[in-house]
Amino acid sequence: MNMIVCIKQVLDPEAPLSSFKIDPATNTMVPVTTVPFVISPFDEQAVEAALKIKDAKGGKITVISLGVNLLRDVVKKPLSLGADELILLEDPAFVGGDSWSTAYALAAAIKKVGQFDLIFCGRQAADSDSGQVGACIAEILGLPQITVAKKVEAVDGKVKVDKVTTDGYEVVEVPTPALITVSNELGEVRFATFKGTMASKKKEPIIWKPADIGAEPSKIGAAGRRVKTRKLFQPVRDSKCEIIKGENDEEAAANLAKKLVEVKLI
Amino acid sequence: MDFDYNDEQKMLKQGAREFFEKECPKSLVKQMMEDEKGNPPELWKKMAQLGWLGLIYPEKYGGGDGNMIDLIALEEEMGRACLPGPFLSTVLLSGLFILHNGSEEQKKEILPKIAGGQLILTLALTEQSDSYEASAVSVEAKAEKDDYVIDGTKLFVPDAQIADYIICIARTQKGAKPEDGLTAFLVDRKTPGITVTLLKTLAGDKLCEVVFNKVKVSKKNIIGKLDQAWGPLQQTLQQVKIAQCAEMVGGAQRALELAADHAKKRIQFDRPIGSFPVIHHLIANAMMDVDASKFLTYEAAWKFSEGMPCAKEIAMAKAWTGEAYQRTAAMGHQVLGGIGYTMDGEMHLYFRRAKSGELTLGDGKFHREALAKELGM
Repeated sequence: MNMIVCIKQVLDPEAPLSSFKIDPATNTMVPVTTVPFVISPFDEQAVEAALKIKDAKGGKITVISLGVNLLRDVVKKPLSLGADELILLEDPAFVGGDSWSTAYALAAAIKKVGQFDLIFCGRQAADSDSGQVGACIAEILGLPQITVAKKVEAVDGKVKVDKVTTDGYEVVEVPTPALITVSNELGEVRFATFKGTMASKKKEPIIWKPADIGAEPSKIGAAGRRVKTRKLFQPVRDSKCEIIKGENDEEAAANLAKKLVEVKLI
Repeated sequence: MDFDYNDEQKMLKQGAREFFEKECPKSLVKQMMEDEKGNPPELWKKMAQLGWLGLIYPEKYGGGDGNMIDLIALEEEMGRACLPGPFLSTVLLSGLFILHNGSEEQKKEILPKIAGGQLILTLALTEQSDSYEASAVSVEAKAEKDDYVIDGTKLFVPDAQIADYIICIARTQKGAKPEDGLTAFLVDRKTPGITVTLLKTLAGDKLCEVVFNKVKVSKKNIIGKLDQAWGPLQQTLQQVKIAQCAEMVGGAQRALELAADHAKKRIQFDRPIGSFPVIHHLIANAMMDVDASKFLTYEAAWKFSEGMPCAKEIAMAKAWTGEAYQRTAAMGHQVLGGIGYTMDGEMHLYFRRAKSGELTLGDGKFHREALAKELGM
């Protein structure tokens, strides 16, 4: 089975909120140097889903990422885990896009790759949280898609997916080729073995520029952006602390209960 | 000049950080400090599966063919995680000694089992004085037909309480110099006559008294050459010291980060304490200590991996890093204030390990002497 996984390099979402600042004049995030880059965690789940199928049925995994200055020690991680090939759409022209222009470039790269049975994406990127790139790729390529997968199995030429719903999950089947977005419910991702990590040294990424994938310049990156950001801001969370007193612990607890009832918290 | 790790080493380091954050939380570290065995078996097994226990051994002995720089990248993360368990005693002290000095049969028999997490070994070198000088070795081994009989007491033997085998350095002959007449024996810990007693330690690391009471060991169990263990042992210890410095660098770096994070968040007098010059200076001094430790260690590791002479660099790295780690952790306590001293916190783990790390394999004074000797004094 030939599988393609789209991954995004993002600033570590586990970094403290105070690390991130917004420039209100430009409606953009102020570049930070103190937060490391990682693969978006949902995309790591997508890689894991592909690796599980490769473990069970064999196949080839091609990973595609888009951006500029992509850190090799970050984007090569799937290679250390068992992916076979890494393609980087690395050019300033790809930068500043929205979900659609990103999906357009990724879809063009996927077309160039040619043979594929499954495309995996994370359910959403950990930075923008839009959750649209996977769906847009499926739309552009005319593929069926299943979103928010927690389990993916290749069965008799089809793919069986446990899809997360608000009250549980449903089991659906889809013929290949198809696109699947993967959720964190997939479970733990594997760690790279030492040998896997060192073996990734021999797999140099393939770099594709816009012309290599036949992308129209007006449709990629900032030029192809359809979404206009009206305002980007960090919500202010104000908190006040009130110490509830009493003659003793019991009375303080009773006063606390009264206060909570008063403010309709219980 | 580039002292940075390559991409794969950065991936190894980042992967190790994520692994230890998940599999070796500080709650486990604290639990292991109190635990007699001090080695969570599941964690050890998983490290073996990831190929970390055999990283530095050749592939033909079940290893990963890694080099010294790969090893220190991993060691930094072990230090950051305050990893409990017998990595130093088994993989480094014992495994490397066997790798460099053992017979082909010994290497094929033991190293794949260390790499696979099936065997725990330790090295019994120090005695009552805790000195790493050859003159401090008084435990004797006397020839008796096809065997040797070991008699005496070893002290501060790491992880002997869980070891399957102990490599005992014993005096087989009184030579012209203290370095002469020392031999390494591979001894099954269950051999009659061996008594292991766990000692109470500051960092909860597992150091033991090992009494050898007329313990019979076959001549076949000699590692390396009879009467000539000291030189080869020193070569192994040099390599292990670099790894240990990297572990201390990782711990010191984390102690520094904890202090700096706290200084940015802790509000006093309506502003973060990190805005006060006195805190600036504490943190800045610690950063200089950590970076100096890092680059001394990296230089020693690089020279070692290139096969270049590096005795001076190792002596400098060990003397400096052991003390710099302590200064950094002490600074951390100053910045964190009361919370730094609670068992719920993490800083005390680094402070304890800094002290333990300073003393293991020779303290600053020992290595200053070693450096002076290298300078021809």
